[in-house]
Amino acid sequence: MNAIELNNVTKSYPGFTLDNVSFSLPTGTIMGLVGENGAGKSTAIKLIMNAIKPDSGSISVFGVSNRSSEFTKLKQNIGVVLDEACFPGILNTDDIDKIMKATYINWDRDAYEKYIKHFDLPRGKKIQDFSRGMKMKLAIAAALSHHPELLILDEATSGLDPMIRDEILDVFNDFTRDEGHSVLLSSHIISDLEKICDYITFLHKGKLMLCEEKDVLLDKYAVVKLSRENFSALPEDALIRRKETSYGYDALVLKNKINSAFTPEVTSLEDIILFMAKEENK
Amino acid sequence: MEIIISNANNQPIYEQIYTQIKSLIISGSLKEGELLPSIRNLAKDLRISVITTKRAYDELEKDGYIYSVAGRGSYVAEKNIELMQEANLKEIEEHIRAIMQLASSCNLTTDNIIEMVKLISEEG
Amino acid sequence: MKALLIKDFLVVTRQMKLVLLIIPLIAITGGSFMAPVAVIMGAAFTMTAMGFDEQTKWDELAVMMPYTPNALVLSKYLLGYIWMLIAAVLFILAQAVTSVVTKSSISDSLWLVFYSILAGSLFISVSTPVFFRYGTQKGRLIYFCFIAVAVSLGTLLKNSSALELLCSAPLIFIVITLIISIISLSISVRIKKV
Repeated sequence: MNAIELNNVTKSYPGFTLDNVSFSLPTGTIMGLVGENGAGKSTAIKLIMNAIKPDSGSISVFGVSNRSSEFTKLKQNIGVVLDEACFPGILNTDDIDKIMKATYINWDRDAYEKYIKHFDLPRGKKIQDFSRGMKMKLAIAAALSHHPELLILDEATSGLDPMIRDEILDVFNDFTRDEGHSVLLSSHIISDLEKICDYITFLHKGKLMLCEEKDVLLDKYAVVKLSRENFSALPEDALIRRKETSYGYDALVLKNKINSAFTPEVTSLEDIILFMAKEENK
Repeated sequence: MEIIISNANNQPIYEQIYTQIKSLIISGSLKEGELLPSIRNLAKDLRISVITTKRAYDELEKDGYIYSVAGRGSYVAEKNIELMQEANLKEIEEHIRAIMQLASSCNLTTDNIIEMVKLISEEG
Repeated sequence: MKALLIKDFLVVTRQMKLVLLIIPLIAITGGSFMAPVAVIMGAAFTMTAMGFDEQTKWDELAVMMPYTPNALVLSKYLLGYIWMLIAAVLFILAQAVTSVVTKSSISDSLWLVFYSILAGSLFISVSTPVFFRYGTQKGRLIYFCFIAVAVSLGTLLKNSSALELLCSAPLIFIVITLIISIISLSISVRIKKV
């Protein structure tokens, strides 16, 4: 079953359209939602959580339409973290415990305490005096302590230093040890997603550029560096994108369409995404 | 079970897992009938994708190194080490044949190649 | 719903301690005709709480949490009603204390407080849908207009026989206020429902 399924979803704002987007997140996997700021990642997440209404198309979560009245109950099973903690700054960790206990049927105070301890968050201190890293850790602790099966995170690791990002990614990684647990994780930091994600969905200017198993992407594409002369020898159907450099071209190519005369560079997911984003370089 | 994933390595991650488990089996570090870590746990321990790990296990199963029991996990298959080593020898032979072919196309003698092999192995 | 009330109660009491002191103070210093101001201050806690929600982006998270649009809307109205009542009680207590000292009657004050509560409910009814639709920043203007009207009305009623007239038919006003509140609630829910 799919944890999340989007079918031909369109949402228009003045100056921006999320254009006919379809993808699905299979249960038990982690999907990275990548794209530049303003690519439509947050819009997609708002649509999934039914915070905004699509102009057309449909979305289901655990097989239930997110427009149905059942969805509010289903949200008991979802943890959401946005790009800010979103908790009132005047409150402290104990206040959040009280509020969440009244919100979630499965709220597990012990689990929450464990996360607070694990993340080394100060008790009794106002949230507004937390660092950004501490705020985000608190939001993640709160999102996990009702034992959800689906975790949705919108830029939850952006603006944090690499050590904290790593610590947080570890928590997500552990969360998916249970095969019923799924994660949708949006970020513009592709290297964060490269390792732990099973699927990569790439949005660019509101359009779905690709949704693919990460391994398939890494198997399928590679970057080659070519002189002008060698570039002309590149099979036409191998070339996906090219970028002119001072000595010739960097080209994103289909690996299976080039012969051994071309040596592919060690190509990261970030390389592939950056090339894909430059449509004019076709 | 010790597996080291390298990002700098040009070899795809699933292949790195495949070769390392395979050599652990052939070397006898993993014993016949031994239960392997679950796909999910191995993936999470290595902090890599579940699908990547599943692919490595699938390849290992296809090639007869491991077998899986639904709901219980994957086990090291009963195997004939000699047969496996023979398979490896066969593979080496094939590679050598390819080398000879390439060599003859640029007029290298067998001695030249032996010399090259020695040099490379000395380099470590 | 309970969670939302707990949250707003915690936020408002911590953030607005000063206002809770001001209410008895103006009751003592300003006299009974300040009742509408005090009560509407309480009613305005709806606006205050919504403002904090926007500031911290709680409202963006809350719509993704297991709260129904009904709960999100109703909790804000209830918050206003509860604080309005608290303000009224504080005001009356302070007035009662002064009346003992000055040996005057507080029955006029009681009527004023009663009509202030109706006015406060009206304020909540008129302003909250606007806040839900346009946010508290843009909606803030309504608050000041309402305060101005309430103060002038309070002063007017104090010095005229109109108060007696109103006192003779309180039921009609309760019914009207109730009807407007229900209409306002349903508009707010419709706005909040995507």
